[in-house]
Amino acid sequence: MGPAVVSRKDLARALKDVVGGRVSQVPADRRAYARDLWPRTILALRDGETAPYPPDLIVWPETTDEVAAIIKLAAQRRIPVTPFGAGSGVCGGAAPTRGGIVLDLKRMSRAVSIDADALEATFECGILGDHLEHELARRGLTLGHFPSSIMCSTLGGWLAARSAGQLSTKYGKIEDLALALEVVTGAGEVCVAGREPRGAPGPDWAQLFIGSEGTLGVITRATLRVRPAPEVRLLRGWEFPRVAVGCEAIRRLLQRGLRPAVVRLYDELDSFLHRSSSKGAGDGKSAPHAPTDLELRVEGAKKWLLRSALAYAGPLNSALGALLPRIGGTCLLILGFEGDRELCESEVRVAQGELERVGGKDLGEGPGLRWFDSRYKISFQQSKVFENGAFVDTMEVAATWDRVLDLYAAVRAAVARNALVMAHFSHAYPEGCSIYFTFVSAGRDRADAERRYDAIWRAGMTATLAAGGVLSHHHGIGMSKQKYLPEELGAGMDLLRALKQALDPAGILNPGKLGLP
Amino acid sequence: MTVALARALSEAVGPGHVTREGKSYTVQPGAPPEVAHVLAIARERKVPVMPVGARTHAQSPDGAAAPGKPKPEILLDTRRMTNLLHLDELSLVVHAQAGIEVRALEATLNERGLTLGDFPAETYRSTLGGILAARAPGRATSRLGPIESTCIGLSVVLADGRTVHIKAAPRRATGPDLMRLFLGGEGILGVITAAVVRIQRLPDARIFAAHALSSVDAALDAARQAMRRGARPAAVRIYDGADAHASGLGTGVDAAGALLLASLTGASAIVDAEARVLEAAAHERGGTALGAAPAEKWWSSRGAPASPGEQPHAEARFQVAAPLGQLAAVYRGVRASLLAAGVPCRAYLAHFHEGGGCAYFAFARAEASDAVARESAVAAGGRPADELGVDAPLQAALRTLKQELDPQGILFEGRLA
Repeated sequence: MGPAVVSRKDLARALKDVVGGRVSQVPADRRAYARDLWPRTILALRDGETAPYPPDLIVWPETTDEVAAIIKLAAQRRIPVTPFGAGSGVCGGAAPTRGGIVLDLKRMSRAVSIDADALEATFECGILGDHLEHELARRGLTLGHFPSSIMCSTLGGWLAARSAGQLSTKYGKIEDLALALEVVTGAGEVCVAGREPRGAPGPDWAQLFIGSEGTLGVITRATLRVRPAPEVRLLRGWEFPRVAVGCEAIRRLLQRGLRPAVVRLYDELDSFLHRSSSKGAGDGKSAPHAPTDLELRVEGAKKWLLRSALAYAGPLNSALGALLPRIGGTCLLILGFEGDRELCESEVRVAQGELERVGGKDLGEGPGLRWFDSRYKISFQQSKVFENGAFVDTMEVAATWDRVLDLYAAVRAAVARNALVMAHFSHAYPEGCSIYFTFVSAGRDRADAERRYDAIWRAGMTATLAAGGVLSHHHGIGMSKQKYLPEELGAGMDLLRALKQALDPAGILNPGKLGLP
Repeated sequence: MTVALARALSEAVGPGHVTREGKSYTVQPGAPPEVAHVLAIARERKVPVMPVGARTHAQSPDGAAAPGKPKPEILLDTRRMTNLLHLDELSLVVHAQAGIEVRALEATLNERGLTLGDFPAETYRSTLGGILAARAPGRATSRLGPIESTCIGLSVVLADGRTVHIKAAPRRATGPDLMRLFLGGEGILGVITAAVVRIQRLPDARIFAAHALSSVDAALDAARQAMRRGARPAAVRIYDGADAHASGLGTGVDAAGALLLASLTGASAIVDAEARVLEAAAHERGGTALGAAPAEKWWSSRGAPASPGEQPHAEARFQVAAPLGQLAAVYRGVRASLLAAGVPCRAYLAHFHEGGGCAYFAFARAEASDAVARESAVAAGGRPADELGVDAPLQAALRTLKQELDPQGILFEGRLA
């Protein structure tokens, strides 16, 4: 099923018949859409290379019918189509690796209907998260979905990758919030998934499109469960001597039926860095000024030190492991409840009792409020690390409680050979939890950095599978993890291929992702 | 041919486990490899197979085939596969084979202070595989959602004998949720052989609340307000005054009014707060608190076994789902149209979540009464639970999916045909 020979010019002409002037084949646009935020491609960009996967064309549809017409046109000509939201994915899922058409959905960003009475809202999928929340907030509602990328990710991207927000423990992940989807299949047919009657035999189609990362259909609209905006938000910090004790505390809370909105347990290193970085935050005294010559030298020295230290990640991790307990390295838990005042206050009372029983120390409101103020900053700090010659990435895995601590230890040990690694536990369920590892490393040069980067992922993913975890909790598979997917899914890969055949027989939708051709 | 088939099946599952039932054979494999073996025999002979459990589903195999379509020749009965494979009390999940009866599983769990949750009584008469394969309406609670959403891991034997294991995880972002191909799939794409499902500790506290209100609308509105504020009751039920009296729960309820019943479970401080939230919502709408007794009575009679001689299918049980905003209209519409057709009916509203709920009607079965109920439910914005309205492109995709996974079409298509 090789691509038919079609010239870019002919294709552009055909697309113009559908969308008018909203087509581009300008080199600057093609470069801009040649990647998402997969850190591995940033290593190349830092080295001065252009992004590796430029599409042939970019199209900006404004209606579902236009999307359907574009896909029909592409299917006839066997041209790859990669749906694109805001491009903040970190696994390469939105990179048009086979060229072809990038379908930028950001012009489809309307709030179609918001029903405060039925607590349902329908949006077009190109809407940015932050805009979606504002539309709801104006009507006293919330979706409760707050990923740190909220200002640079779209509803469609959330659905495609099974996103989780920072308050997912209360509100659920995006798959729990979606009631129905409008989808254009790979054959260019428009369908509605998720409105099947409960008694009808057959799959729950919405849950098959959610997480399909653009390989089975283009999600154009979604109807979501929304909730009244919370009356109160009660945040507190708690301290635990060890990760295991903190996890035990979280498990008990969830299994007693509590649904905190915020549950974030930082391991010793993450807690230490969290404390140091939040010092002085929000005091308004750290006003920026032009750096002096001395400061620039100090910065340069710090960069050099950081890169040198990270090149010896193994010993660095051991040293920190020995040091942290001595300087009183404990674990910080941020716990927050939100919603109705009366119900939240009762939840807080029950939580307090449980946390004290397992040995937690109440740190008051301060740590919680500080976290809240800086909750979206992480999405904007990545480039600073890269600027310093190092690299950073995150690995988010999940398991049932019986495996969570083993999974934590196994992945940490595997990644620590090549990177400085820290973790937090931030999406909790009665039956288990996700673990969010952040790792920082550096290479002598770009080739060395890429080699290390790949080794870290290989070690982390292999350790995850061996410990009985799942490869991803909310970032998705994309390109970065697809090598490991067959081992996780086994014969489930055949199910995925059958779905692909059923929904995208021409094989044009986001090819080369999710382990699919 | 049939003798040869019987012999092959006996060899696959052991001689004592094949019985003739009319024109079909009921086969009870003892383990997943035997399921694969039975499917291999079916492929070789091009004989349709239908997985069955306790056969409590309204779509019983005998009635499942449309006229003129082939009936399943092999009923693959999972009820010998009853092992509880792993009880994980730390994660609160249980891994069990598909043929275990839900009430047997529940009894085992109860002995250890555990439970599946307060699912409606009919859930417990089915097998675990059965309740997962048939997305039967009404098997849901406002606290835990529909029963199939408790499933976090699944094993399935496909038509070609391959086994898919979807490992247990609280949530994942590793592609589509492949379990959803089989949950509610009624065995058309594969045979569920085992599942990992979420369980609960028996709650610290269970309290009951009952409120008399002036109308079904007011009762519904009160329940809705409490849930909007964040209360997550284990179960809520609403009767109109007449049905409350007919059910022996009517003390203190005006015949023209309505009764709101709730069962609340969880940590006691929270349950108390939830009860106050519900009471405030009822009070604001002119309700009167009736104490715990009516709700306790309802709860203890819930799921009482059908009296001897009563045919479970003699009475039509019609269920309609509707958004909360339309539920009262559906309720009134169906009642009124049945009454106009001279069909007396009993009814209640239950299984609420923030967005919707279900209306349940029971009346003498007759084709005419069924059609009347259905028509009026749809007219008022409700969706009958046995409706088969799937989008055409998705229906076509399901056809291809079936072709891909079961090219010989040996897994019986039932209502899909």
